[in-house]
Amino acid sequence: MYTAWCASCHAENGTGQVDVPTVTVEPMDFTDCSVTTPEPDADWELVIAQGGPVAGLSSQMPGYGDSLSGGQIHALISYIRTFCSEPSWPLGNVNFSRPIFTEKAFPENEVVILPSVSHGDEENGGQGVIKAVYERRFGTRGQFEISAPWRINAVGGRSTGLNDVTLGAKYVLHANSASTRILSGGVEVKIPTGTKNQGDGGNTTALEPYLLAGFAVSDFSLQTELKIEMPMSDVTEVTEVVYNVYGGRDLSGLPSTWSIGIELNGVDDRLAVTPQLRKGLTKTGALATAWGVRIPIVNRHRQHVQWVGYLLWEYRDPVRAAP
Amino acid sequence: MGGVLVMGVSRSSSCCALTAAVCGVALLSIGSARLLSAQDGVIAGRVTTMVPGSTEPLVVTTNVGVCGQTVPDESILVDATGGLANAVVTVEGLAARPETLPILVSNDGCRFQPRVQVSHPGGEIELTSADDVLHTSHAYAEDGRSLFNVAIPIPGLTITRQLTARGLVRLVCDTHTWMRGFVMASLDRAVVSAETGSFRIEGVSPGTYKLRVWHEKLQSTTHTVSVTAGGVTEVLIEMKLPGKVKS
Repeated sequence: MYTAWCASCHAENGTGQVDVPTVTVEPMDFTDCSVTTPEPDADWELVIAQGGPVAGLSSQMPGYGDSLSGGQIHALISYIRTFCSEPSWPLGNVNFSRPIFTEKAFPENEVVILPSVSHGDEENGGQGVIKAVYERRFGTRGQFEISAPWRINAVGGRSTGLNDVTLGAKYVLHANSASTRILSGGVEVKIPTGTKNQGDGGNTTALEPYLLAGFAVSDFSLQTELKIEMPMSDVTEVTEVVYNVYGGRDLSGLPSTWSIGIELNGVDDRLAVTPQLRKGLTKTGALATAWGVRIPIVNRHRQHVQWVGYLLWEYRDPVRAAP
Repeated sequence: MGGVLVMGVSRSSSCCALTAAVCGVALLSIGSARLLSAQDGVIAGRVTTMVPGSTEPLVVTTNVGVCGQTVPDESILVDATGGLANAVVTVEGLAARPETLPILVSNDGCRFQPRVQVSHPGGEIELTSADDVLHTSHAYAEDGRSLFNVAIPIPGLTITRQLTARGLVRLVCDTHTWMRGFVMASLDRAVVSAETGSFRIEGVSPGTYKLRVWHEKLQSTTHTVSVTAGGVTEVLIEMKLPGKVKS
């Protein structure tokens, strides 16, 4: 089927390099594992059935949905996946949409800006924090990360301050072959770049190991995070435990879909829930935004309601739809 | 039942009058319809050119086994007396007939057949293939917007789409780059000139009209014609090469 119906543009060897090209765009190189493995099968089904424009790709990729059955399309996808011959790459079926607080287990190449605004009590006024995160994959299963939070206080006139910068790395420990479960582990180092007397951290260098998991349960994704913090000076002393659980669902198969979800966010004995909405901003899904509100539910007196969200950019993917 | 008018024998004269009146109105309506069509005119003519027809065949670059080494170049089809085929003559201001049948385009011998057709915005187009090779029928609107691209990997399949555009729709095949097809999606009445260049447009109300004539390679022209009741307006249209090269 592939030879008769795909190879004239995608080449027998899947590279997209043919002797006599008939299209003006360069087709996706199916042998490039770093490009193909993060794509969920559902995205490929969509493009094969409806053509390139449904996912912001070139209209020179036609739709086969009127001529091929779902079974034939699945079989083609299974075959196309074999062009990536390195089995250690985790597959896109466990590349779930990013929640606001819960860190995702799948490694990413992306930049994320996370603003949060909380209305303080009468004494402290409101507080805003903007965190900028840069993530970059390495190898087949690893990812580096650097994150820098910047605080903006509204109390007693404007004041701003850099909080503690974090450097981290994570690695996919397990992604099963049917690709609906993923488990990653990682560690972050928090550097006391903040100003201590302004309440911006700045206390001590801390080590933060964590475990992340993701599961698909029919149309829903369940994502969890467990992180503990220990000061570098005494790694036996746990100073903070963070635990997050996210359950949510994409409302359509498109990369520009709306998604809804809710998180349970815990820091030590303070618990909150964060209902949230997410939206892919372009047809390719390379730009996305999410918005939610973190509502304290346990030990509310020691927490504030926070308006939270993110703007995300997967910098290796095309942002705008092709003509 | 109340309200039923009963005509008694005593009213036979008014009954006859009423019947006569009803029949008269009916006859007048039928007569009027015939009178209206008798009042319509016809625009008949021929599109010609002095430009030689395309004779160099196109070299097939992919799927030679199915398409052959070459396919005829049908971009300028001229008969022995200069008649130009596949020109679209549009009568501005004359509404297109409400067309409910879809048009059919076949990928046949690695060519779109028919090469040029007319339809209307929103009209249905059926795409099929007679070739045992992957064809794609990719439609572009005049502004370059892609309307649809359907793969026809198996001969005999028919796929239906809608022409969601106005004006000239261009068809290409993304696996056989020499293939070209055209559909004029027009709100005005339009016809395609035959192999001899001739065309005929019937049911034209009397008046003055502007004809717009399009050809895929030659310079578009306009002609003003006057149509009389029951008359046949003859028009000869000559098409020339454009001033700038048309791709």
